[in-house]
Amino acid sequence: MTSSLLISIATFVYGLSGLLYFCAWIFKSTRLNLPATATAAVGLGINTAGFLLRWSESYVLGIGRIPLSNLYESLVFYGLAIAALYLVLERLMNIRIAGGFALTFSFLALAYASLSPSVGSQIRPLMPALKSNWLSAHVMTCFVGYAAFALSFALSLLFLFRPDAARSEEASFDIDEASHQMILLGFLFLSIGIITGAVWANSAWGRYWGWDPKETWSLITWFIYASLIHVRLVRGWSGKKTAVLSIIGFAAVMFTYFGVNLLPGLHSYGA
Amino acid sequence: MRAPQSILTSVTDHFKSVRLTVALLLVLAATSVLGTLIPQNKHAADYIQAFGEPLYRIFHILDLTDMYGSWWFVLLIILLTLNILVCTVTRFRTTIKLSFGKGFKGFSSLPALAEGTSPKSPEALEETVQTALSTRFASTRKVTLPNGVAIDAEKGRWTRIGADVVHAGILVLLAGALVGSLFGFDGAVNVPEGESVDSIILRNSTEKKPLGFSVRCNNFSISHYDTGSVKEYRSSLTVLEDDKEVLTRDIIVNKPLTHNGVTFYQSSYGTMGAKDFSFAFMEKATGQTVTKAVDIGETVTFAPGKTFTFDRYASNHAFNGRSVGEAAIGTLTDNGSKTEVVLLSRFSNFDKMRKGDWILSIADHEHAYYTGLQVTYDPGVGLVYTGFILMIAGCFVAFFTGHKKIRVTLTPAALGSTVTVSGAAPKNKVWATRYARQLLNRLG
Repeated sequence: MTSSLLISIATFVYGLSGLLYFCAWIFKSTRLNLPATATAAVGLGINTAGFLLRWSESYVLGIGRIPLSNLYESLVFYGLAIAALYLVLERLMNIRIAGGFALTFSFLALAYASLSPSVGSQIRPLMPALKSNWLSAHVMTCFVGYAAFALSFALSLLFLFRPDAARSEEASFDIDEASHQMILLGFLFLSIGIITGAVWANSAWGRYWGWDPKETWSLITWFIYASLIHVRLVRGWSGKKTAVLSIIGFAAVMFTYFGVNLLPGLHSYGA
Repeated sequence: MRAPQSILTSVTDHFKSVRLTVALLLVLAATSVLGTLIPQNKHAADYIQAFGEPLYRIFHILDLTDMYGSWWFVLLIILLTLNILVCTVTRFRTTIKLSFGKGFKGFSSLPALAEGTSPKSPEALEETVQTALSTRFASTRKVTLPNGVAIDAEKGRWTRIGADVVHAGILVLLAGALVGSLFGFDGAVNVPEGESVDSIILRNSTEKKPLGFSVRCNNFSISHYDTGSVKEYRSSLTVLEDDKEVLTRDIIVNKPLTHNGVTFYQSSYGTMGAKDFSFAFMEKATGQTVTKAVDIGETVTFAPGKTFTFDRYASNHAFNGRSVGEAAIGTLTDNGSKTEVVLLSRFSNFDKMRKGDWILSIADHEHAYYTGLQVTYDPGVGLVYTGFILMIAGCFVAFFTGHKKIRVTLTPAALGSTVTVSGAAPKNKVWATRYARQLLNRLG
């Protein structure tokens, strides 16, 4: 049993779970609710096992580091974070509508990690700049933030484009509220992610802020969500308007994650 | 003409508006994109080559080649700072009064959330309600109403300051950045092994900045993983004050050294020649070898009548027009006749081609390195970190805690009493309704 095999299995379990959620939603079949949630939980379990096994494999190779330092590893953790956060959201707010999208995102993250030839899955030792206790705090908080924004993105899409049959006032309120809670959580974690990154940069390079493209894009994302929070909490915007802003915000998240690698800069480890 | 008072009010009114905040945040977001697409602080020639002359002129006029330090970007940040400052200050007294002043305000107009009946009388229920509420709320009170009693409970009033704590954090952070840019400096210096420096070159300039003490690099080393990639860059540094050793420590990337507020970071390295050479001299006829350490310029006698002079070291020697890497170049003197010999560190058999009686080779040598240090003095870092902590704490309080108010009204009814739960939790709309239902269930 290798970690990459576990990750491949988790990919398909996530795909199946996403499908079950979509079927339950489209055919209004409450009988599919439990299987969908259970499959998601199994996928999360296998994903987590794959993450932990990769960690222990790195010790066997004599490298010994938490698997959070390249594009492959970040994608695996991102898939894990989205699935876990979605299950928490489902339990706490009793809202299942975003399940299809959420598990599809986890599926896509893991599928991209496993299948794309440009994503190397080898365990390599850390380069000197990454050897720091700040690595796990920085990467984990950033990706929990990204995961919350992904869920808010899914809920915003649903708010804007769900079929008329599913448009009750109560459902709209729930979707809007859940999306907002995810934005608040994402904003808190993005802030902590940026701040841990700044503290780390100060201990490695002697500056807490250097306008490197990744830093700048994370700040752009922060600005967008900060404006969203202000118009919502102070000017009372909600529903359609905030859903559109949330989608724009998530586009910035995706550019911060993937797009910046096309630009030159210090964050060129791919994560 | 308007009175000065009203002009001031109209200015503060502008800076108080959230519309300005949002506009500034979005303009900052949009303009920041430019600086990630246009490489920053490069030479004019690079821009002209990449973007063409006309576009470069526009970049130059708008300061887009150093946009995060440009007057208009700094102006945007100053406007945002004023905006936050005015918002926080004008609201300050109200916020403090609401958070820490007299409590239980506006309870009579709370929206009703759930209603039920109980066979017990209001007097009998009072006690139960009090107990149920006090498990979740620190502060409760009883109010006598014309038609019954009300038990009020509230908590989290202080959480109203959350947003102000975030904003204060941002202001402290920006103050720290200002302090750093006014009183701090950063630059770099290369220190060869065994040598010391007492000044550095400031960034983006040629200006020398004296440190007030000196730093010696005792040793620099690189270690590798089995795969060949770099594991660690390590410099052993000694701080000297008036030629007295004050502090000796190794630095690696992520573990800098700080002295008098000045921090030294491992940032680069380079080789500057080689040292500690020893050479092997093998007699072809017998195969016997002698090894001798030779410094550059030194002459040694390795066999009777035969001497070797180590003339120079070449980091990248060219042989027949091909690069053959590091070489030691010397002169072999055999009873008065001189021959130039070239010894390569990469090919130890190279000297066989000379077909002499003795075959020379480099037995051992060390590289001499210099370490490249990034040097920073930033007295604003403490403020910046304080700002960070305030921002995180404030965000948490502002987003995930909130002011919660509950009123339970007990009015006598034909059979026992009517129980009405009203309440509000502006930050958590789902919570109030859910709690009201739970409370009613508990009261039966």
